[in-house]
Amino acid sequence: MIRKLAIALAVLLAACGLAAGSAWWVLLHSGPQGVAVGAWRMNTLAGSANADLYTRARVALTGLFALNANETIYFEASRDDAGHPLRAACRYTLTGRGLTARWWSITAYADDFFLIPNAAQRFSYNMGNLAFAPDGSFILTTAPDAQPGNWLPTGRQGGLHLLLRLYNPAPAVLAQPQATPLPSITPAGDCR
Amino acid sequence: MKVARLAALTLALAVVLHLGIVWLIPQAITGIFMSRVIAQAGANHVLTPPLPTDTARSVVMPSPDLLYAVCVYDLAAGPVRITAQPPGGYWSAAVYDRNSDNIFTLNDRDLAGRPLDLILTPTPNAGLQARFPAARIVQPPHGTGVLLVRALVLDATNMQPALQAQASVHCTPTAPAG
Repeated sequence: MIRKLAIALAVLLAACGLAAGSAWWVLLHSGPQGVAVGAWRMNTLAGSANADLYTRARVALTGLFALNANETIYFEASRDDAGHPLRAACRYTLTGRGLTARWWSITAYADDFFLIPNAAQRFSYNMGNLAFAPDGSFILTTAPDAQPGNWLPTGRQGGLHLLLRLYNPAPAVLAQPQATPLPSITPAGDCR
Repeated sequence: MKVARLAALTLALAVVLHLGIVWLIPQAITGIFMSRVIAQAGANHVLTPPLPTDTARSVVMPSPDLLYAVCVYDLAAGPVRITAQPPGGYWSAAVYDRNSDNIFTLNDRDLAGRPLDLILTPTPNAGLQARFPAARIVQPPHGTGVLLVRALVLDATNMQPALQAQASVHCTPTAPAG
């Protein structure tokens, strides 16, 4: 009897471990499912009542209370264009042009998905405060130390997550998010 | 043979538990958030946090460009009416189910300069529309959830209108129509 109970307990514990471990890996380490544009990933079902089980759980963990795609589209990047994980201690250059939405912003988050403490109290850039070149392009630098031009502070430890929000996106973006021209993300020097 | 049977049983149990965990996560996280808001402001009352900075730790990935107003609605005692006055610029009111789904959204363009008048009701009630002819009436799938109002703050110049818009949000139970 005791042996049977011990076996049942072992089966239950192993199943719990497998279940929790696989859920953790799938939700936090397999990356957002959906459309890929360069280093950016998005899922049109984020926030939607039609979201599948995994999308809903992933959004709850990494972007609770997302709006549905008609209102806002979210592109997330945790890697550079070459596929290497973004690191807070490194310098990256984002190069792009204005996006077709009512307004848009780029925000930097730490590994815990919260805003990064910094003396400049700068957490994001948006279409209203980003400095553009005369040809309509922009360069945004993410780095732990102050940089000339558009500088988004990143802290010094752990990974880095960038979130591009497009509020009231243009119909073309909604119809074909995979064709949206988004900023490139490239390493720009050594890591601190 | 017995080991193979035990392994299969473990795997089957793990699949069921895995799906249960994934299903439970949004409910649990939203539930924790709702409990915190209720502890601070109560259900059917509006919480008006400051513009998010690195010290904002209640919801992951907050937007530092948006001033939020939050109301946890509870329809147990009947409909809840939400009113607000949008400022100029981007503004939205989004209703979330208790599992975090965004079930309804109105933005300032939808309202075209009119104030927000939204009623959440637990059951269909034609009398409500007659009583509040200008209101949008929404029946959420469950009796509890979250209303989140967002007002864009591009810079210091539109902070004051955003604060006024935040202060204008009211979330109050209203007697069901007979």
